[in-house]
Amino acid sequence: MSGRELCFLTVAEQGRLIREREVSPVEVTTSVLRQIDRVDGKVNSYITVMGDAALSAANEAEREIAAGDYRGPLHGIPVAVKDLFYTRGVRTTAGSRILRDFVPEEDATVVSRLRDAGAIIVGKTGMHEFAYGCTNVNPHFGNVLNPWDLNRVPGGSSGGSAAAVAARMGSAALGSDTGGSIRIPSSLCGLVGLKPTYGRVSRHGAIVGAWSMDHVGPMCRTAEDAALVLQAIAGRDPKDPASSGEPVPDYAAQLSGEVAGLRLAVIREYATDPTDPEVAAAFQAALDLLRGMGARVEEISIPETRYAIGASTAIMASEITSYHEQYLRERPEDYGEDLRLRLESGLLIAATDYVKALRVRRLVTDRLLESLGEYDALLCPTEPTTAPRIDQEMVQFPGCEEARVPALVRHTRLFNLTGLPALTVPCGFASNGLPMGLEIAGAPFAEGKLLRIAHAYQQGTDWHLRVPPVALS
Amino acid sequence: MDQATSSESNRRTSPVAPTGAIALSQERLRLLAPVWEMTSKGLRAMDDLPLGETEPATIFVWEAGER
Repeated sequence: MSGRELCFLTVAEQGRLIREREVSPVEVTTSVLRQIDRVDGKVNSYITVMGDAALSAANEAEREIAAGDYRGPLHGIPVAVKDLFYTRGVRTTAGSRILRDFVPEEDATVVSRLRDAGAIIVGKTGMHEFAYGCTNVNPHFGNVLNPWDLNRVPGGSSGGSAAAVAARMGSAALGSDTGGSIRIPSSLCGLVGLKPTYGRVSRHGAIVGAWSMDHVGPMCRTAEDAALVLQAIAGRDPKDPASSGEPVPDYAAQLSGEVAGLRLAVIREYATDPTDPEVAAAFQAALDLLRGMGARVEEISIPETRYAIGASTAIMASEITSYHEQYLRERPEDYGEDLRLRLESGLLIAATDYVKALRVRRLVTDRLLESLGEYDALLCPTEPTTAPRIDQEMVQFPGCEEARVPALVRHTRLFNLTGLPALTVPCGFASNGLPMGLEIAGAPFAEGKLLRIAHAYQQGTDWHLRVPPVALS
Repeated sequence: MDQATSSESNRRTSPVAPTGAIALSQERLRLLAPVWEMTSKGLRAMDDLPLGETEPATIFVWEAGER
């Protein structure tokens, strides 16, 4: 196998070759770094590439493995991390001018856990400024572009992580998700992106978005890879007050390839709201495939879902603006104008609306838990559309149009509001060549079951095997 | 708006449109109007939901079998 081909393998495939000593961590890391050299000038997925540090870590991994000290499936695997995770001695900008020169003195817990698992951190990926937006249009570090069409957004806010993994410039990546920021770019770039249960993965050392809605999770090409990364980063962290002590199961062991007998529910409100006809067709085809594999798929109505956007807006905007209050007072001109306006809008939210949103949060959560008492998972299209063009403000649907940000978060925010786990898995490509995603959500700590469904689905499809043309250039 | 003016507009002591810790100038409020219109639309969509005795859910940590 040539060095070029190594970066095209999945985490699981690279890990097997490293474990068997057929390839070395240095070879795999070099392959990824060369792919970054070849491709990232076109995609702009990285803010900081940590080439020297990555090669040094890969050499260390190679020595350890040669000495018989094999740490596990991430040992020697090149991983990218969104530039809001603290990295000791490496600047962490959050995609902002305000933190352009911020160099943390410690690693985020998730970065530390990746290093403990033997992963090689290859760089810090581009993002929507302070993770508050879903396009990755960024006035400070340039826009990240969608590898499937360089005229389109990759989604955000973890758009750099998605673009890097899709274009084979990282075997896996970490993202954060406050309103959809793992799942939106993963869907628009053709990846598996998992937002775990609130509290499942530590947020310590991740620059805050909204305390009660922030989640950290993996972005990968397969559900199997997502299981391996989640295994490394999940679990109690005393440094995160919201961290859960729930035991961490063996996620990979749950990838049976089977969905027979599972009860799956389509959320009617999300399957029938304005949707691109090609997305709707891909979603129906995914349901047919799951039915064919033996799952029982039914449609249910959860009318309360229509209140999720309002409630999540009130909570998110209030919390984010609170976090930024000092910067907003002292350095407002250092924000991009679109972010500054969004933060200032948070100043106008009435306390009564915030409390109302917290009450809606409880009511909606109770309703979803009720449904999840009867079903193993809830399904809907992750995005009602494919990736919009960079200059496209409105998204067209049959008979109507919608501003692109509300359209992109329409099916994702519900699971930030409720803290329930949700993932996206590629479920097809539209005639414009852009990927589409299937969203699967479940009960608290049901990540293993969601990964099982996504893995089984990927066994019956080959969408995840497609490669964006720019990655082959 | 140049940067100096922009910075001035967000000072805590601004007499215009007090909104808590930061007051926004009329110019900022004008720029903010379309953003706020969209935000407000989402907030008002909650108004027709009968909440009854529902208590607020504050920051929570899931534990097995409970919330």
